[in-house]
Amino acid sequence: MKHKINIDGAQNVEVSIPIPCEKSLEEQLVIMENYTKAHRESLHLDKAKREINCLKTIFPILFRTIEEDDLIAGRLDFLPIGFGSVTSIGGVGHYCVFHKLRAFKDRLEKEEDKQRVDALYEYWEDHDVKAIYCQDVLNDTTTGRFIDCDYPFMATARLSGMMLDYNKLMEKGINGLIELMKQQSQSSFIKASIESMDLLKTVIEKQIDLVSSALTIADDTRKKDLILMLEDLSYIKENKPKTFHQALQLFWIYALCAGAINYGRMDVVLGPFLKHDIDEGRIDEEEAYRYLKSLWKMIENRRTTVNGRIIVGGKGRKNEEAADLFAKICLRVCKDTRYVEPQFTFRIYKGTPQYLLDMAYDCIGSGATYPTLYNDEVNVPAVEYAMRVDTKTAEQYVPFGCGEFVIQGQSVGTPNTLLNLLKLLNITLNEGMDPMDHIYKSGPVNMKPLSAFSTFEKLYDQYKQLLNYYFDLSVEAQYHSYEVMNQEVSFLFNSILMDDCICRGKALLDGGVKIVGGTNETYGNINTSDALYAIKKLVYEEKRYSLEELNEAALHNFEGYDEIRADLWNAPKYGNDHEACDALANDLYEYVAKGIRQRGIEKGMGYYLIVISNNQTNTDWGHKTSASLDGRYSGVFMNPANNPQGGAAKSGPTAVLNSLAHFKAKYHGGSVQNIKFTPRMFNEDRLKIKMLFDTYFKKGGCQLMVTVVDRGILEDAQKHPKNYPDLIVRVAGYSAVFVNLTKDIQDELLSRELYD
Amino acid sequence: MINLFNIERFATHDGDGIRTTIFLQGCPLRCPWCANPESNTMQHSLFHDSRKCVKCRQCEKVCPTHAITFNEGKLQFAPSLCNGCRLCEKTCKNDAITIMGEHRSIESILKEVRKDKDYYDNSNGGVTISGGEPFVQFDELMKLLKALKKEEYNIAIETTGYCDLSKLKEAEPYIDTFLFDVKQFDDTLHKSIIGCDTQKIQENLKWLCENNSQKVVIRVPVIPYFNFIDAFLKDVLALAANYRVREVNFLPYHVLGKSKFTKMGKEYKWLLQSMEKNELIKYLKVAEEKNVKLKIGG
Repeated sequence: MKHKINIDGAQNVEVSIPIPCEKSLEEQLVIMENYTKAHRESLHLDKAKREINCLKTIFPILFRTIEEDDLIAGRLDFLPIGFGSVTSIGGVGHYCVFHKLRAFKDRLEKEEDKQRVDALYEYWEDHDVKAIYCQDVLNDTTTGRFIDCDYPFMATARLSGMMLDYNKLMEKGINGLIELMKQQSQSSFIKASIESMDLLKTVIEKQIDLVSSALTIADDTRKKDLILMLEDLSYIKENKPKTFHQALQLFWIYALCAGAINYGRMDVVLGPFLKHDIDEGRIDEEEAYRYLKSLWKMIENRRTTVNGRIIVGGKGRKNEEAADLFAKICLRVCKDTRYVEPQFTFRIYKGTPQYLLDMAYDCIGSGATYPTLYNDEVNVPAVEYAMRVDTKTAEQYVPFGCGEFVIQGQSVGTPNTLLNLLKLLNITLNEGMDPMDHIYKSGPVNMKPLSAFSTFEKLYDQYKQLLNYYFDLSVEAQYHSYEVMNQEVSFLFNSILMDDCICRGKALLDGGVKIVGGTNETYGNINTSDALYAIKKLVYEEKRYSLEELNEAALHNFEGYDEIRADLWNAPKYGNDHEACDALANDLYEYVAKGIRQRGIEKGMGYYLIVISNNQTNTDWGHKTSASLDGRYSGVFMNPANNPQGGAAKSGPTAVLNSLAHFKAKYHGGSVQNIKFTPRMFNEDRLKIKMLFDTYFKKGGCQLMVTVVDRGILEDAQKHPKNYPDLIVRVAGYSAVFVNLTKDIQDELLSRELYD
Repeated sequence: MINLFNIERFATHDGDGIRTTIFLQGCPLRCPWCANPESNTMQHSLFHDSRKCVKCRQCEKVCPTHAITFNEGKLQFAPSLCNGCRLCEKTCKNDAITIMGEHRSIESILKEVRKDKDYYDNSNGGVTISGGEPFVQFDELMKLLKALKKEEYNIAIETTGYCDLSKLKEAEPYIDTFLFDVKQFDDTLHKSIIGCDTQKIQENLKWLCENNSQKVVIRVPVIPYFNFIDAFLKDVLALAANYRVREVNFLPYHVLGKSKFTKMGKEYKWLLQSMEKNELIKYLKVAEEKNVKLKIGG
């Protein structure tokens, strides 16, 4: 196969192993050919019409058989070619995941079949949405694709973190939505949207068939469940849901068709149905627990690694009592299932009932790593400022994926740009050249030699100039990702449940969505500020070394420079409550956060914000980042999110939390903090832990995620993985079964402080 | 200046709420199970991790006072010679050396303490002064107590009770909680194992209990073959009931101090299996009957 552009490679973080497609290889190949044919034949048509034509080739055929304990219907496969929003389940828009298509080809036996795949590969090289985007923005020096860690900057096209307005779906039902669309002027977008709803009905009919065939082999107990599923599928096809089970079913099937892998405030959507059913005596809490446990399993089985957000609690919920009832049952399910997904998320505020908080702590204390905690008292006003929205809108913030915020049903906020701040500092120290590969990566910025930096400020200014250049690249790349995606697709299922696409008669990125936001993931934040602080102290204040000496040592990866390395590593570090060090970290943070935010405003976006989240890119990117002046060796992982580098925090949890609470949340669009306790401390000193968290939140802490694991367990699990099949750890923006992680990621986790 | 060997933030075992514990040096007792043997004297201690040491003897070379020597390949440390410059620690490439003990000003301690004020306030916590035996550095202790009280911190002190009553009386008004160690009532046994009699300890405990028993938390490190004796533990509970002290803690014997002994080149002479909490659970019922609040563990 020939290689036109460099996009063939891993496109997302994939820790959980996907469940293989149910179809035979031949069937899969035919489906991909049909999809490609529909695309080719629709090339001359409007993008909305083309999209629905393509969707019809994969829906409903890619839906899988009902499994024997499913209580709601809807299991969906995806192939190397198809339609989607995100890389976790396929790709973006009309996609082809080239390396997976190659792997698919390798499994084929007949040469003629392999040639059929080649033909597909060739077609999609010119038509894969991401490939089209990459063609425009990637280059050999500054900008790489996600994930290609040679570059200080990575850009991608994806539509991550779509959290749809499922309330609208519940209030109107499918026919109500069709009715609404019919009232609009009949643009090709609206017409295709109506066709999408017809397709959704077809998908539901398919589920009815699948449930019916399951019914033929079911025993009496199982029959009861299947009959309920059958009845409710038939009902929601034509009516808006009345019961909890119907609402759950409708939500699920829609989310699948939309390719949505983050679900959002389900307590708001489903709570009222649940409460109504319980009040009426239709179901009891145990029955609801069964349904939700089934949902949990369905979400786990999608294996989307860094996604699967279900969010409960917090401000801005109409029916709090009903929502809390839903949250309560979710907490039970979460504790009992111990899955890595859904990423169960709990928004807390002054009105959070104590019993729910206690249940949440019990769940965390059991080692589930969930729920992750978000502090509404800080986040709501912060989002209000950051995204420039009113309080009511800000109250609908939801963290998706690794921790980026969007407004549910109202904003797009996909992180299509990623910056490595530490690589950029090392480039600054070497006149624009990256010590890792000796390639010049500073574009047109005038990069001065070290001798020019007679003061710390001069060095810092030079660094900021380079940052500015990369901020400019970032905002353009982010914006352009929307242009390309909009040129190619309408994201019909997403658009229908996003304000205000239907009423405006416009697709999501065509002027439809209310708020066009975006996020930039910044990495190495803390290594960079620690390195800058060490330089400031050792070179400019104490004058113990020259900048040249320090840089020389780093260029040699500190080999033969033990003393310098020790002095750098022992210089004060963020995470220890050190005033000056934390102040510099905050200064850098604000410079980066404000710089990105301002560029978004100038570009006319609703918002463009940094997120200090993390998946495992801190480790992957660290491998390609040279030794840094915080004492970090070349190739070693960078700090996770805005937490200290492993081994640098030596002053206990209060010190770390104090450092963390410095960063004002109003300048970022999400930031995550990990903390690790032994079960002994977390459970026996529960009261004190609660006070610890409570104080941190009062001091301005925005978020916390907690791993509870015993000393020595992770080390032992590295040696004897078979003994630990369900040992869950929080990596950063996602949880994972520890033994499924690669050793480098495991090592990074081990390096983090464990409090006992 | 005050001699201390550690300031621990988010200390959860030394009193109510979230606390910062200041560990002072110096102790008149010599408990063989001591968890902090580096606190025994006012001098510096050297922790030497022989597993990390490659015997390059750079530490010996850089020591300006010749406090470090090597004898048959084994590091020897003379505390009386050490001036605490820590050159050995900085020079060691393998992090095999840690010098314990430092002289700190009251102000620098306060600066550290203030960092977690919000946490104390939110959890009814505060500052604990531990050791060693804090009363050894009595004059400095008083300065520290006064400075802390001026800033209205809740103060707990962890004491062996082995000090002059007059000193205890002078300090008492500044202290909110006495975490008072009771190890043995049997004078001979106490003296033979720990090296001092119990007279002062008992006298001080009595005075405290008679004056303000609600400030007193009796802590018993429960040590097998020394005081893990049913009659003794029951006597402690009876005494607590009699005086209506605030709380009693039974602290199960552990060997966490062992590695410190080893690193100091000393023998850990009371080496037994660590105790499990459940070995002491039955006393909860005894305490309840006597209306005493008993906690197993600190």
